[in-house]
Amino acid sequence: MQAIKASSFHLPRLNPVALITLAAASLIGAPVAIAIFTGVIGGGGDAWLHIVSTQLLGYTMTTLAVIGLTAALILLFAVPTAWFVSLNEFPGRGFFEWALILPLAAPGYVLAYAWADAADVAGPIQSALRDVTGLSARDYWFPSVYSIPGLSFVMASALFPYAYLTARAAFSNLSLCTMEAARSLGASPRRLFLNVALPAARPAIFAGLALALMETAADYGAASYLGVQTLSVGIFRAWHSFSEPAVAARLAVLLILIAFGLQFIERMARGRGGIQQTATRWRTPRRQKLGPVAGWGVAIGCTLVLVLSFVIPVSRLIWVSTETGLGQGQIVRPFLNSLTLALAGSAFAFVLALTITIGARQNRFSQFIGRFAAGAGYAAPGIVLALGALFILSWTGFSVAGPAALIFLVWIYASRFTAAGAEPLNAAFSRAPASLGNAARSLGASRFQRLVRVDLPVAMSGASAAAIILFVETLKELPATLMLRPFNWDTLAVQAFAYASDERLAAATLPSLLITAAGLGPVVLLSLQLTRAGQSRAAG
Amino acid sequence: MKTTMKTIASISFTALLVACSDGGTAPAALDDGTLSDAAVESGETTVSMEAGSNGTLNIYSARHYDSDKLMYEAFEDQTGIRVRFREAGANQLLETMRAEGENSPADLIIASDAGALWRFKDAGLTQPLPEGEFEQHIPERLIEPGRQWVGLARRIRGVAYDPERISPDQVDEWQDLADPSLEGEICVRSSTNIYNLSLMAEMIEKWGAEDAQSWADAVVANMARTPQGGDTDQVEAVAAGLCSVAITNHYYWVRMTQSGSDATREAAAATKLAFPSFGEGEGIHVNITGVAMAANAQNNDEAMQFVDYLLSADGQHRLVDETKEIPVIEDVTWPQGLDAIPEFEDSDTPLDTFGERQSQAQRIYDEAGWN
Amino acid sequence: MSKLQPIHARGVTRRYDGRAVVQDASLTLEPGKITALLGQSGAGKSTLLRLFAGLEPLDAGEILHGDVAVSSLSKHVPAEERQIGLIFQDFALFPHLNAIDNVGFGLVRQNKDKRRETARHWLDRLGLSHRAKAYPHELSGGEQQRVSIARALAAQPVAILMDEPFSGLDVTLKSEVRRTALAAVAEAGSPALLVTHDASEAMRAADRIAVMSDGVILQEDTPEKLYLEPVSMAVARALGPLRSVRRNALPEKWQAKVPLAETYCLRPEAVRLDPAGDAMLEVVAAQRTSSLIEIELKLTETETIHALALGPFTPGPGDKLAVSLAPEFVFAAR
Repeated sequence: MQAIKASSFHLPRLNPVALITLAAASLIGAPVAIAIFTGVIGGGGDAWLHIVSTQLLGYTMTTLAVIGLTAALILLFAVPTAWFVSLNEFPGRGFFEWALILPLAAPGYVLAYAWADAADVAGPIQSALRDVTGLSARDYWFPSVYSIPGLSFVMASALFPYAYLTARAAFSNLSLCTMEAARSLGASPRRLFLNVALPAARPAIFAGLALALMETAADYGAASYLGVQTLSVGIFRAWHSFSEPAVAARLAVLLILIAFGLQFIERMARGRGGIQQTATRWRTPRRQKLGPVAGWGVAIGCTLVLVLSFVIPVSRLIWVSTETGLGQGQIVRPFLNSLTLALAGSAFAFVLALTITIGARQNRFSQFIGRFAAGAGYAAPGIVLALGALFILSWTGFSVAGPAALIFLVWIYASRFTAAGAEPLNAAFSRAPASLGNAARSLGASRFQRLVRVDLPVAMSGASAAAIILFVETLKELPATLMLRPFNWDTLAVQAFAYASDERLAAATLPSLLITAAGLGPVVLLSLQLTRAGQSRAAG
Repeated sequence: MKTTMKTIASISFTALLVACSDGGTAPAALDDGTLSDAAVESGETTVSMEAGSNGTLNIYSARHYDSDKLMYEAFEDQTGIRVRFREAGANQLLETMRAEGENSPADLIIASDAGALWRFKDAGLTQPLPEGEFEQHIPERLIEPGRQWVGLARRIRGVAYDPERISPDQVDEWQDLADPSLEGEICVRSSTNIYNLSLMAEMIEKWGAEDAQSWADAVVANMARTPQGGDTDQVEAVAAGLCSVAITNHYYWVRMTQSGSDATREAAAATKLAFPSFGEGEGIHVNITGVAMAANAQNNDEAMQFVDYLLSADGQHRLVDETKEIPVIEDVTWPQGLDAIPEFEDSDTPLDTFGERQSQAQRIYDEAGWN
Repeated sequence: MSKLQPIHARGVTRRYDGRAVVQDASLTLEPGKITALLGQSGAGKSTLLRLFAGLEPLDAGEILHGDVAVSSLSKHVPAEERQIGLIFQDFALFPHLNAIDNVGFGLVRQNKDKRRETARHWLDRLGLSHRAKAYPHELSGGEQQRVSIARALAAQPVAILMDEPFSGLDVTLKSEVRRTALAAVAEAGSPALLVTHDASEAMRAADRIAVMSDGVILQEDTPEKLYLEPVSMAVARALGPLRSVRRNALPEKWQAKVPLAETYCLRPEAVRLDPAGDAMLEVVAAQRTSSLIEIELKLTETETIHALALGPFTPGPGDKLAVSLAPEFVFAAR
């Protein structure tokens, strides 16, 4: 605290790093700012009044309900699995440790297509149910995927790995001493979990959860396919059905407020205690071996989570795809387009994430401005950012069809996902000793040398995780790509969405599976890397 | 490992470069045939290499079919005109064009609903097509009176029913669906969908708002479940026994009969397709896929060549063979599977009505609680 | 710059939000000597160290290297140009560099081979040549701190500033690491400052000690002088345990030996077991703490006094012991 205060006072007001950070933050924040600005000054007239009086409450309540339910499901999926995987030994533990991250590869909308088909009244699950019981379709109740709980389930399936990852890291970093002290005081495993481990891991779990919930709030693909009227869907409707981009922007402000609310709650949770980890003195406790019954019970639980969130929907897509045969459609080019855009977008986002992460270490102004811009970008749905980009395009006279659109798209990706990439980079700094900068100064390193010789390399220890998360996120992005891609440019996400919206699930399966497959490689890499890092820490 | 990553990176980077130059010929006529074409040829499209370059055509299409790409390529082969296309939902294309303003590169707009075409027209984004031979081969109703758009293919909204529970005369007219005997028997998608909006728009036109409202109220009362999913899902629900009448566009049902999946074909086989009329002699609900000339079109001649191509036998086949829509040109043979649809008698409602009455239709559905 | 120059702080003041955390502090760090800055947490020790290092500007006073001012109101030489070696409690090793590269970090002006050689020399000097290739997370805490000291010394600093360098270490490691580290520091000959809250560490390691409290340096002198001639009760208390006793509670013979005052503060050494002692006191409790025996003796019904004994036998409660007073360990409280 003192250190930050003192150095911010000490530094000249506008040093180069602060200026660069400011520039990066402006790049990240500009599309949101422009969209919101247009919304606020653009009025909206009758359409706005109509939406306020008839739809607004519904959109908001639906969004909040989806967020709440998704949060509950994510905690249910992520926390117990992370707990058992980090602190207990049971059959298949090594497999589940990394496999539970896999669902991150599948976008929410792909899971929505798959579940909507699988759980439909004519789908395999209900058909089997009728065959077994002899009931007719009218004789029983079956939960519908086209509902708030259905959407929540799909989003939780796609996003729980974020919370699983942070919870796992927190549980493996629990102090052995704390755990043994609690045990010696007679704490049962249950109390150990509820009263010691959970409060200690809470900030980390909330960090992952907040990330996942902001994604949930911004989702368009799954919500619109399942017909759930969230704010994000409302934004699309306001723009596309009422032709009121200003109204869409106003709704977006509401959505961004909700996302900032989530961030605020996360900060609160983080602020009230929790473990401060110092890298040197924590040891992973030895994993406790579970008895055969408990062990197999836990294994079955983990299997269930994995099967429900990933195996069933993906197998259903594979089944549909092989059953109907491959279409004659072009798939190589959209695949390359997707990879190209994801690489370019994630590369740009990575540079921005690195800039604001390092800038944040210089002074409080840079820290605030960088975090704020990245937070706003992450909170804004892709469509709002695309809206901002379209405004800029029309002012500057660039054509949406030209290469400018591609550059704008890469920009939008960066604006949207920088926050997700900054998280692992920040974590790299938080693992490093606090006095690094001063140590380097005392050894004669100038500000620039410190940047190059200390800050950059330290941040880079989180680089691969950041790069992978950014790549997978941009690969899955749908709404902005849908609006900003230039002529003759289809990506896998766009193809999957277009086919699925036109009720050609069979045609949508191949691009859907390819996105998942393209994301799977990096996710496995990330998973193995994080798992290994955990193990080496445990051994060290 | 390291080498692989490098290779991937360089491939993608090349792809990006190619893509950039590909899309980068904004005033297309000027620098065409030089750098940009070379880039395209070395990239992905081999078509324009043989064809040479006789200009460019920019199409905004609300369709998304693999066969459309083959259709564009066939046109490029025939004429040497390079086709650049952008596919997205009709509303999205419309808003994109609005945002682009005078900079919009669009020459032609293809959309799959008369209501959608009307919105382009209403927003001032279209201009009259030049007079041409096509007018003689197409039913008059399928051409906008000011030639702001022209129909390319027909699509019919009807019902698929379970012949074991429902007799054909129970789905003879749309009014029949309001009959209390069908309580708990109807499956239908959400009212925000444009197919339902256009259907309701024609009902208002035929019956007046009051009767249309009572029809919507009665159908909501007859629903087997809250509206969810697409048309195909409704047909499948009938096959699964959840309901016995599903409102669907004809081509979804036809595609099901042609599906590669046994289960889907069986589902279609368990149902029958019917085209309810708006009343004795009032005809049925026929909608269109149509094309319009963009208000700021730069390549009008190329655009008209393409419209003529779409209305040629070859163009019609390529347009409807995969989609299972109904050709608008009389002597064109119908796509496979389409012979299974019932005979029909067109209605005389001006197609622009579907757009003009769209918001009124939505209000009626909202009033009825049809979500 | 010769490294054998003293470093002076003259009347330096530092304020945060208007509150002085260091107030008019003057202190000289002599070459070849280790000066300890002793005080409770929040006393301003670390801030004074940061002022010496140039990590913060000062609000009054000046800091000089020899007779060259490096910090004053008008001038501030930034930390990176002062050639000061800093040692932190959290070791501050660069996580992306192995031990030898950490040590070589500050040697950018030397060529690669020379840098390597210097770094190896200092690792060797701190007994770590076998860990040269290890990364920080592979080193134990003691090893990490020795690397950080090697890193600071390798750069041939004009002064070494250590901020609680040993308090992050396990007790068993501490004395060994401290011995190796401080021997190397002393040998290097630069002025050295050791910030600590541990009086025994300060007295053990330092040539001189400055006692600091509430931003003010209370007294600065050799450990011996400070211990025996503290200028205030606060200084006396900072250096070791005290027990206060009213004059009336003392045996009469003892009252004659000490200057007149209402109450006194006694170190445990003030009372010694002495067969020829001039007072007999009853044992309330006695406890062996390894080599010493702590004995609590009854003065009056409500007051007791502490004594230390070396003997083999631990007395029991109720025993009467002959004791005498060593007046040099009695301070009159003001």
